[in-house]
Amino acid sequence: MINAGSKQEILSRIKNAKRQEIPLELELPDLSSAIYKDIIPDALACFKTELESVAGNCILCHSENQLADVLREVLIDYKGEKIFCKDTEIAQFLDKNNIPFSTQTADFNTMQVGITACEFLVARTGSVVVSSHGDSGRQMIIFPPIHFVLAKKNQLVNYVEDALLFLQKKYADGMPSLVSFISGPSRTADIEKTLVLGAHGPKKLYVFIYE
Amino acid sequence: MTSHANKFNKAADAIAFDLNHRQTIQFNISKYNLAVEKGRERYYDLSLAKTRAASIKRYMLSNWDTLLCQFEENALKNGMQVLWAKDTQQANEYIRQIVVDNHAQLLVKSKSMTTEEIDLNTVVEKIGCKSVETDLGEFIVQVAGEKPYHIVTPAMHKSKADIAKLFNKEFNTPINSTPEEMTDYVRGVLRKQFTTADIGVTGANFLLADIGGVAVTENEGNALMSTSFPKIHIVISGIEKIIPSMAHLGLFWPLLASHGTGQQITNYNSIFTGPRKKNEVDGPEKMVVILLDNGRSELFSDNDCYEALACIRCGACLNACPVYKTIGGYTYDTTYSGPIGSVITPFFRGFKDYGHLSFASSLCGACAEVCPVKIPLPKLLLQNRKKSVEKDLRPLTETLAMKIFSLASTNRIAYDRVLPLFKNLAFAPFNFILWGPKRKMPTFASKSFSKRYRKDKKNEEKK
Ligand code: SF4
Repeated sequence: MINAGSKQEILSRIKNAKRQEIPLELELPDLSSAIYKDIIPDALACFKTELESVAGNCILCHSENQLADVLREVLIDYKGEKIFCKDTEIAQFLDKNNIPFSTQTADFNTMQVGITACEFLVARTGSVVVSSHGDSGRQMIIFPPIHFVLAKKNQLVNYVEDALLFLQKKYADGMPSLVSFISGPSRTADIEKTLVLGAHGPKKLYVFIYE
Repeated sequence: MTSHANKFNKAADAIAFDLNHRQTIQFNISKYNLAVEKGRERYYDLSLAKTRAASIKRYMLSNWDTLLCQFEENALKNGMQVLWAKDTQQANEYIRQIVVDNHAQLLVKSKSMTTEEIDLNTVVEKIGCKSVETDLGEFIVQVAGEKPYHIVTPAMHKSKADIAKLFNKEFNTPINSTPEEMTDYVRGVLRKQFTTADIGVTGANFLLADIGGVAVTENEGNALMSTSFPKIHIVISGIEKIIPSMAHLGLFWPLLASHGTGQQITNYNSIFTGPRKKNEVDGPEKMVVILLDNGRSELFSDNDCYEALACIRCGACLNACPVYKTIGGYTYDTTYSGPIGSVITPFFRGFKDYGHLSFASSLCGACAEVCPVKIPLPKLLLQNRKKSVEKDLRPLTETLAMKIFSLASTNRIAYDRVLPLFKNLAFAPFNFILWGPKRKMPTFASKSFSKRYRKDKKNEEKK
């Protein structure tokens, strides 16, 4: 596939338009003032409110023990082979606490709940930042009908910008091939602008935050 | 008048008085308006956000070639393949090649207007590869054998009853299916396609120069599904989608959401920086980015309209436009409709066939008011009109009528000699043809202004 010619052609047309010499009509805008509302009362409460406003669920736990109790309780109706988890650390935690789950490829297609970790949580928008880095990969963040995310309280940041900066710092040697900001369960409003949850991705999203 | 303009007039005439169409559009847009109003409240200073976005996009335009090269360099480092396409033909040739080389049978496509622009579906189907639209709205119009009606909401022209009827006919689902049931049905059908497809195609909402990344915004999760299972990920992006830095997404993502759908932030905002990495468990083996020019660099040479390249395709100007709301998306007969479509299409497909679109505007200014990147759309529409006139592309009747009118009206004495009744009669045929039978021209006053002025002045002097 030859493409050098087209590249030069396109770039030279852009150069010849000489827009570089045209002064910008808009002055450099004020870059210091805030454009988004403050985080109130605190990041944790703000995250919970925002995530719930987009039909997500947020459950706060004070300790790992409490997290285990809560998980056991919400997962009680699901058989072990319907709960899928690829994350080694989480798997150990589930094992330790006698919560059944599967890692068998054969169970992937029929899973009902998928459990993953995450990179960050964004308070202002109620977003969960996930990436292809780590054991879960890409499929586990979009395929499960119900997505459980386990996060520590210190993964919480205020704004989208903050998460982007932290990501760049964390992956200074190169970003994971995919990073996604997820804000609520998958949705569509393509039929008469009626909101329907669970278009192609998870129908439900639970975020468990523990200390 | 060209056949395109003729077709436009006829279609506009028909649909403007179609009450069903009007009701559906008004219903959908009123829901959008409500959501947008709420979305605005999420901002502390929306107008400053818009100014910043406008300024970043203008900065991008004055450094366009440098940023594109920077993007390419970084994308290559990330292991992507970058292909430059000067027109749709070349873009399609690239895609055809990829399909053939990889013996692809099934391609899943997430919503992208750029793929509509190059008519990707037709091209790959011709060589025996099935192409499936996976965005629910796009899926609906594909099943109906239609084109997207709106750049953000493809099936906006259909009511839920319309869609239930369509699905009943095509898939034998219950005729009274609810939106939930229909969505669930499509989910089931498409899950099988996602997991077995050879190629996943997405557009790009932003190309990130500093990290060589591609940002894709979506609500349904179909873009993530399309890029998590197939072994090849193809991105087709207009070259104007570039922004300098990944950090700018903190500004652009919420802005796109609040103007596109009224959400605070769209459900899934993803950044792709290449195929599966060595230490990753899944993902495509190959990622190809096709950078499409197709008239964009030419639009850039235009001293007025180049600013239209700042567009982030949010769709707000369509929803605000009284003409769009009246004649609907199909009447434009273009990939990009509404005010922004009327500005850019003549550059992509010629003034001869698409210059008339710039005349289909009341220049009310609603579009410029809502635009998140402050594109002066009415000014650009006016400039396009000027170009059409200068290129002698207006219909003969209009040119003649204008000539006669200017002759008659600029000659005060001759004009005053004619009695108002005759003036009305003389202009009637022109009014009827040019103004349309459904609009009323103001009639000439019984006494012209200049006559009255002179008379009043005399009376004044007498006093
Ligand atoms: S011109 Fe402005 S309002 Fe219209 S689609 Fe583009 S960015 Fe949105």
